[in-house]
Amino acid sequence: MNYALLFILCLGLSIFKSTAATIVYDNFSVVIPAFAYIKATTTPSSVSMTLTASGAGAKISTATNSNLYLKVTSIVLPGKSRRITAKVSNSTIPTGTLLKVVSADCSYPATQGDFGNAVLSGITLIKDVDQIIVDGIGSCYTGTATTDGYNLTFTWQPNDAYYYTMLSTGPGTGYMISLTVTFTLSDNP
Amino acid sequence: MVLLGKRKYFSLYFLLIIGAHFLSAQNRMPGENAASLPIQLSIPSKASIYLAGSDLKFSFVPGKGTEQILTPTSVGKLWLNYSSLVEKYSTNAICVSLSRNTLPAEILIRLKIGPDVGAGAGMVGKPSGSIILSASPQPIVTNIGSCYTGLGVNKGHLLSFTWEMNPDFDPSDFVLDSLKIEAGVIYTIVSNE
Repeated sequence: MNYALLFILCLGLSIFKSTAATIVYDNFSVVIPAFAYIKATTTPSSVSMTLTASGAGAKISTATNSNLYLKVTSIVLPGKSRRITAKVSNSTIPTGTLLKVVSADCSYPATQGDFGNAVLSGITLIKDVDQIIVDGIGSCYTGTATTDGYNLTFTWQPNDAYYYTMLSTGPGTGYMISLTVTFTLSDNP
Repeated sequence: MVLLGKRKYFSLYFLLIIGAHFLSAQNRMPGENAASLPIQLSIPSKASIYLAGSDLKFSFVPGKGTEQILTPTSVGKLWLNYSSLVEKYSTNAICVSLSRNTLPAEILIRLKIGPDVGAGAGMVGKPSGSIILSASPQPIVTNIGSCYTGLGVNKGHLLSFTWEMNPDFDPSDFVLDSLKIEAGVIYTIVSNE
């Protein structure tokens, strides 16, 4: 009985020992998978714009808002790049008005990677159609502080040719429209 | 009982594993490389008026706002500018009244309102032609939708004031230009909802 117990114990120890001995790391590799992460942060916490005339006799002036910063962490495969696109993904832009957005180049002071280039001419947002606002993004991170990242400026303005006619015969004023703008960080083909 | 309990735990673990799998699968979906932002757009109703011209005099009347001072010798021509943003099926109107009813009964002030000259855009108002000023407000431009007239002289509606003798009185009683009298005119823009 005692011999049997001792035998099992020895067997167990030897298995344990041999298992431990076989774990030898003489060669290993690190894999960094391609990774894309984008986040929209605003200070204050929302983007709202109001169209109004600056004075009696004046026409409606353009509303602007620069609260939004897009933060990105991107790891690309060698030779690849990414872009940020924007679209209106629900509701519709009020008829007779144009909603535009333009990105500034990334603001992160200590350059950490390849931030690409903002399309400085900006775009006029269209429902369900992605358009490029920043292109050529490589591997980078933009930082996470309030004003880190790509600062976006929205402008909302009447499309002069139709606006007043539309306002007078159409929806008029006193309404509020909620839109969702979606930004996508995707691989360049 | 004990066996049943273990089975329950087993099912729970199983569900957790399935759930975790779904969560990680969702994290790999495009939601990770897309970000959404809500934007609120609004156009509040607003209306404002402005008077442009030379030799304009104004004074502030507590409780009533700003009044324009007219005398028999003032130029009597000015331009009425306005901006207006209205709700659906709503229009604005601009009214004038005399703020002080201190004119001698022999004297009338006539106001002629010209059409908008077309320097702006939108649904500008319709002029009322010609009125005699009184203490009660009278519309001078009506049916103003969403529009603007432009800002300054030669934009909007030309207003012409003329001082007249009431035809019921003998004109030899007064020489208008020599009278030291003045009238205060108040402009208001109101909504016809």
